[in-house]
Amino acid sequence: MAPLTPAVMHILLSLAGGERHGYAILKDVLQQTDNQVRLGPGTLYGTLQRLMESGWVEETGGSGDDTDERRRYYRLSRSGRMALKAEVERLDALVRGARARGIVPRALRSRNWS
Amino acid sequence: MRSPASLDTRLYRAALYLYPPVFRRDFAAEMVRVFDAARHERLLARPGGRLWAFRAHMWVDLAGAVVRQWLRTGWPVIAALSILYPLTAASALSSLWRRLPVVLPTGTADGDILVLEMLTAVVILLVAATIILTLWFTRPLLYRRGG
Repeated sequence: MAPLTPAVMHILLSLAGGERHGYAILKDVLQQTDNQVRLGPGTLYGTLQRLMESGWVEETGGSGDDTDERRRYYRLSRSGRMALKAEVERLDALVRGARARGIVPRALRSRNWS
Repeated sequence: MRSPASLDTRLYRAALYLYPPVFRRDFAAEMVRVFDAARHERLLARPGGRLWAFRAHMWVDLAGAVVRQWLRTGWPVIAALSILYPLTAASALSSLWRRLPVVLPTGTADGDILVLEMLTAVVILLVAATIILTLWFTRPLLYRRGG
C-alpha cells in the first residue's frame, strides 16, 4: 500500500476517535498537530470524498445526543481502520529505523540528558 | 435570529461554482457551513483582528481543491486528447496525401474549397473525438451511480 498523504492520515486519525462532522474534524486536526496543520474545506471534503469512494470512511446520520441534523457526520469503516493501522505500523518501523541510526527527536534527547 | 451571511461567506459560496457540478452538489452546503464557522471562530479568537491570513488560506485551499477536482473528472484529459487526436489525424492524412500520386488543384477557387474541406474534416474529427472520449471517461461514473 502506498503511504498515506498527510491530509488522509490526519482525517483518519481524527475519525479513529469516533464519528465527527466536517468542522469537528478540522478542529481536531488542529488540536492533534498543535495548530500546525490547518485543513481548508476544499482539502477536507475532497479527501473525504475520496475516502468514501475507497470505502475507508462512511457517512452516518449522527448518533450522539448532541447531533446537529443540518450537518453530515462521518466515521471510519473497518477497512479504513485497517489502513490506518497499517500506516501507523509503517511509520513506527520508520521511526525505529531512524532511532537505530541515532536520529532522536529533540524532546526525547533533552529528556534523556536530564 | 441568524445573522445574514458575511461578504466573505457570500464570496466563498459563489466561488464554489468553480467546482465540478457533482462535487458541488454533494459538498457545497457543508463547505460553506465550515467556512462560516471557521471565520466566526477566527473573529472570536482575534476580536477586531484582520482576517487576511484566514482569507488567503481559504482561497489558496479552494484554488488547489478546484484544480484537483477537475483533474479527477477526467475533463482536462478529454480536452487534451480531443485537440491532439484531430491534429494528429490531420497531420497523418496530409502526410499520406503528399505520398499519393494525386495532382493537387492549383486554382485559387479549388484551393479554397480544399482548405474548407480540410477544416470541416478537422471539426468533424474534433466533435467525434469529444463524444467518444466523453462516453469512454464517464463510463465508470455511470456504472458507479447505477450500482
